[in-house]
Formats: sequence, structure tokens, C-alpha cells
Amino acid sequence: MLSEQDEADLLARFAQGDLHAAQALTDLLAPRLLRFATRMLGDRSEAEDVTQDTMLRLWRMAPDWEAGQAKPSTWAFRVARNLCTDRLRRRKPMVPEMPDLPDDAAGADARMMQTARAQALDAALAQLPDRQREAVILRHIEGLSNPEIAAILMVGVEAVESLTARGKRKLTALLSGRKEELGYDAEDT
Amino acid sequence: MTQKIPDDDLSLFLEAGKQQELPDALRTRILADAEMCLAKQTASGWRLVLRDWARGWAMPSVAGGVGATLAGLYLGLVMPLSMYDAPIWMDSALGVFETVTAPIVGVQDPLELGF
Repeated sequence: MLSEQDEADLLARFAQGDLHAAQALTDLLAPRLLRFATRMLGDRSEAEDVTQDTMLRLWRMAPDWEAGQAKPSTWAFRVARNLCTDRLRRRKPMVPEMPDLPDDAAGADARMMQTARAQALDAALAQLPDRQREAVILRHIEGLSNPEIAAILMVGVEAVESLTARGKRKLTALLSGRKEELGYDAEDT
Repeated sequence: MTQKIPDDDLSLFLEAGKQQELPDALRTRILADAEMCLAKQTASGWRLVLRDWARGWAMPSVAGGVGATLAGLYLGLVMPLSMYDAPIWMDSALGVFETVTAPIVGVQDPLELGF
């Protein structure tokens, strides 16, 4: 994961016309935004639209980006979250779609198992309250720090800690019954 | 197939949840947007430079230059020259020139000045 300075440098280079910096930022941010939006919206094509829209806003904002502002990735997650919230307000919740998995996995069995695990995770995440789901995704899947999540969710760091702890507990409870079914051997723990 | 569980039961599920790649089509669309934004920024950059240049000194200079030229021609050529002394070919041109220039220079009627 790049530091705040590295991300800001890439953005500054893009603003000066460096398309390679745009490629690096896209490879860095877009997959994470897509995962986040897919889990928030439960709809892959909508998530792709949100990801593209978020990146477009990042490109437009690049010339005005000032050093010392929030990390570009934090800013992007906040925009993506707002776009997801807008879309969720406009429609009823849907059953989450399972994200695509890479084709180069070891074998068909491993791929299927990985798919089933991701599916189980998504189904469990869908049962969490919105704020807990956002906090757990950002903390435990996207690896953001608590202060970054606090900036994205616009709450205090203590609130983030509480949301992630409660969300994680609930998620563990939801998934614990599926460990053996999904290839995790509890006896080996 | 079995697999050893790490301390955190959840972590393998979470690990599985991280396996999502960016589709090539979406990546292409995002980079096309980036390219379009760069092109727009470059274009608007030139527009801004031209606008600042025009607002800064170019427009007042051009306006001043045109005004000074008209005034110079009027005062140096049209006013001293009686319409009757002007060559025929210049007559109507001077008439038009005077009609246009006199109000700009601030003289309504050349006869007021005694010519």
C-alpha cells in the first residue's frame, strides 16, 4: 500500500500530464473501490459505474489537489461511499453478487472453494447493518487504518473501533458454522 | 480439501474476499477518462493563458492603438484638408471616414472648428 505522499505524488504527476501515473493510480485504487462498491451495492455493473465515476472525479480534481489534504485513496473511498449511498437510497436492497475471481488459481477445486468462501463472506456481510458493513470492509478487506475510515465515514475513531469490533464479532458468528463446509478444518486450529 | 485455520477464523474468509481483479474493460474506460481529462486540462490551460493575456494588456493596447491611429489620421489628414481640395477619388472615402471618426474624437461638426 502506498503512503499518502506517494499517492499524492502520483496524482500531482497525473495533473502535469503523466498518463503512467494515471495507470498506477488506477491499478492501485480501482480494484479496491470496485470491491467496496460491489459489496455495498450487491450489483456488479452498478459497482463498475461507481468505480468509474469515482476515478473520473479524482482525475477532474487532480489539478486542484493540495498537499496536506487527505490521502487520495481516503478521498476516493469517501466519494465512492457517497455514490453508493445515493444509489442505495434510490432502490431497494438487492442480494449481493459474488465478485469474479482470478482465473489463474491453482485448480478448478481451489477456485470453486475460493468462490464459495467469497460468496459466504458476501452473504454474511450483507446481513450486517450498513455502518458495520462499511467499517468491516474498509478495515479488514481494504486494510485502511481507523483514522482513514473515520474520515471516510465522517465519524470519530472510537466509533470506527466500535463498529469494526461489533461487525467482526457478528461476521465471525455468521461464518463460524460454515468453516468445515468451506474447507477450513477446525481440528487443525 | 482441508486447510489449517489461522488464529483468526475470519481471516481466510476475508482473504477470499480480497480476490477481485479489475476487469480490463473497466480499466480501459477509466484510463480513457483520464486521457480525456488531461486533454481538457491542456485545452483549458491554453484558453486561460489567452484570456489572461487578452485581459491583461493586449486588448487595451489594441484599443488604444486603434484609437490613436484614428485620431492621428483625423487630426493630421482629414481636418486640414478641405473637402473641396481633396481629390475626387478621396472624397467619398474621407466623407465616410469623417462620419465614423468625428464622434469618436469628440467633434460633432468640423465646421464648428472654423474649417
